[in-house]
Amino acid sequence: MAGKKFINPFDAGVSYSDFLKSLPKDKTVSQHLKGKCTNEQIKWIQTELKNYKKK
Amino acid sequence: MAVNYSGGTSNQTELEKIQEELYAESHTLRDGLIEVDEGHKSGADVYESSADVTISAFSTGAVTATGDIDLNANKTGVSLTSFQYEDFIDEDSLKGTRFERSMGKGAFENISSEFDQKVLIQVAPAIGEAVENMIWDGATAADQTLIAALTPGAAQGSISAGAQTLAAAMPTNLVSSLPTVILHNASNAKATPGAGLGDYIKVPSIATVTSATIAAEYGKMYGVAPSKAVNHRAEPSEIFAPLGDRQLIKIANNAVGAAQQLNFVVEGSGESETISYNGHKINFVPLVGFRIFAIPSYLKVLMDLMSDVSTLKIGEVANGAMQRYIKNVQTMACWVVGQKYITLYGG
Repeated sequence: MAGKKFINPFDAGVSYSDFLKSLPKDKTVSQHLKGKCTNEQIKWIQTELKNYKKK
Repeated sequence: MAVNYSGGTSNQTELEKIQEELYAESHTLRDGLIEVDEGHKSGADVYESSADVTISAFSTGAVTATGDIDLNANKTGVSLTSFQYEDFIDEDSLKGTRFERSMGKGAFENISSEFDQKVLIQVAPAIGEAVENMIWDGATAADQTLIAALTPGAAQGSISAGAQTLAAAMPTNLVSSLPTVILHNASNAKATPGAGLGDYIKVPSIATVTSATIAAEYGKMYGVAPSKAVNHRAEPSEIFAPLGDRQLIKIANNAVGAAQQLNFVVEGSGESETISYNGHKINFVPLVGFRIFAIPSYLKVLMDLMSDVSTLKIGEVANGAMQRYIKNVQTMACWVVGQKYITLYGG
């Protein structure tokens, strides 16, 4: 079965909602973005998603 | 010989000085940190213009309509909001205190000149501080709703969830602050004209600003700022930062030993002190969470009259009432132009 298409949250037009929908259920944000984003970016996205989920 | 006294004791001296509250200085208006544009009663049209040119190969022939030179001008109407600070003053409650001594003779006289000179006088600086805060922090309830409704994302061209959290936590005011207007406005000069997200540059991958991280965080802001704004020497871009950054910067600069790195230049002291980062002056203002890197005149406060901030009308209440009224009225709006050259840390 094909996995979900990788969506980079830093790409223009990608919302956090889009990104979260693309996140595989068995992976954390950190695991999913490892190697594709810098550690600094991953850390920020994690903080951003915390803020986003609080809304 | 015994001395017999009854009736209790009372203090025979007092400190002449009545300690006044410490009010933040209103540098923004007093020192003109940004552009203050006066003469607007209820609304002002703000115009922005540009010319786009496209090169073409040389020709000795007649000029033709190439469409290579586009001249653009647009207008945005900005509504100003009038607001007030007002109350009654009833100094009758001061009878029996030190202030009674400065009331005139006669039962009608219940105004203490000392109270007016030492306590009432603080109303103006208190209003000045409140207005200074309002310029840099806070949003109207309507703008808070509009910002909350934006779709957050990490890329440029979308608001960060962190910015939405900061905007939601802002005090609700009658006038939206500059960060609020940068985040959301109805300018017709934006890439997508009309109400919506501002055209500002966002600083991605930011972290908590502490004395240990402040240099790196300013570096991120500087790094992402548009080069044209960085290199604009006719009116150099400046940084607008929270008041607390002054402490963080000095702690960072004055770290002892091998950790010391002078990332910020501090010149002078006291009133004449200036702090800069990579040659850009830092203005410390009551921002909360946000930092702005911009050409100062791109940040605007539109007003009817700047001196309204410190104008107080005091007079007797009508019909023989032994009270006075005090009232301050102002008209204001915050606005931004050249939005694509404004970098909003925290945005």
